[in-house]
Amino acid sequence: MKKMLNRADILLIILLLFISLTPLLFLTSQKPDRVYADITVEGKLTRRIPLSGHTGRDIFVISHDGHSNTIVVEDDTIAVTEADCPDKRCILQGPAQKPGGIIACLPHKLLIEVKGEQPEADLIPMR
Amino acid sequence: MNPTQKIVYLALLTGQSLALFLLEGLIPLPFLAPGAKLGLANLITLIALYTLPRWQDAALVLFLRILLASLFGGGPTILLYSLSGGVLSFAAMALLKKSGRFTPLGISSAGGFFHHIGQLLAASLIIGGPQLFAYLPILGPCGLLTGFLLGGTASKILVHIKIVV
Repeated sequence: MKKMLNRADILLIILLLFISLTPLLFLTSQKPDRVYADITVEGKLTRRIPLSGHTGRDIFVISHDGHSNTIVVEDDTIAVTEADCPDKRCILQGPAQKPGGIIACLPHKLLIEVKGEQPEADLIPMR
Repeated sequence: MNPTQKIVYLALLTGQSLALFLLEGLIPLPFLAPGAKLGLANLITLIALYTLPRWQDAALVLFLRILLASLFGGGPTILLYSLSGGVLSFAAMALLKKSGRFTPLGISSAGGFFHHIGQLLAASLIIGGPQLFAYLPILGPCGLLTGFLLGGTASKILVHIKIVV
C-alpha cells in the first residue's frame, strides 16, 4: 500500500508555508512617530486621516457609486461600523490601529490602510 | 464508463459539491481574515480529479459548481473570487497530480494554498494594489491546513470509490 504522506508532500507544504510568510518581510517593525490612515476607493486616495494624537470620536460616510461605508475614528483607531455591502466583512475585520493594518471592503472597492511615517532621523543622509 | 454513466457521474459530483458549498455557508466560523474558509467543495474537485480519466471533466465539475453556487447565493463579486481562486487552485492540483510525485494530501494542501493566492490576485486587481497580500501569512497556512484535512478525507473516500467506478 502507498504511504499516505510522502517526502515530496512534506517538502511542498513546507515550501508553500515559507511563501505564505514572505509578506512579513515587507512590514516594518520600527515604531513610527506619525500614524495616519489612507482611504482609497478604486485605487484613488480619497481621504487621509491622522490617527496619532487623535482623541474623541469622529464619524463620517464614504459614498461611491451608490454604495456607502460608515467609518468611525475613535482615538487612534479606525473602523468600519456600517456598510451596505452584501458580506459585511469590512465590519467584521474590526478596528485597525497599527501601521500595516488594513480594512478592505471589496464589493465597494474601498481600502483603508494604516500607515506610519518613520522618524525624521532616518532621512538624514550619512556623512 | 459509457457516455451516459459519465454524464450521471459528472452530475452527481456537481450536485454533491454544490451541496457541500451550501452546507459550508451554514457553519458559523470565527472570522480570521477576509476569504478564509473551509473549502469543503474542493473535496469533490479532488475526487473528480482522481476518478475521472480526463482533467477536463474534473474542470467541468468545478466550473458548473462555481457558476451554480454564485447563482444560489453569491453574486458577481463572489463569482469573480471563486473563479480566480478555483482556476488557480485547480491548475496547481492538476499539474501536481500529473507529476505523479504527490499524494492527495500534498495536492489538496497546495490546492487550498493556491485558492487563496488566486483570490488575493483578483482582490489586488480590484483594489488596484498588492496591499491585501498582507493577509497571506494568515490565509496561506489556513489554506494549507484546510487543504490537508480535506486531502486526508479524500484519500479515505478514494479507497472506496475506486471499487464502484
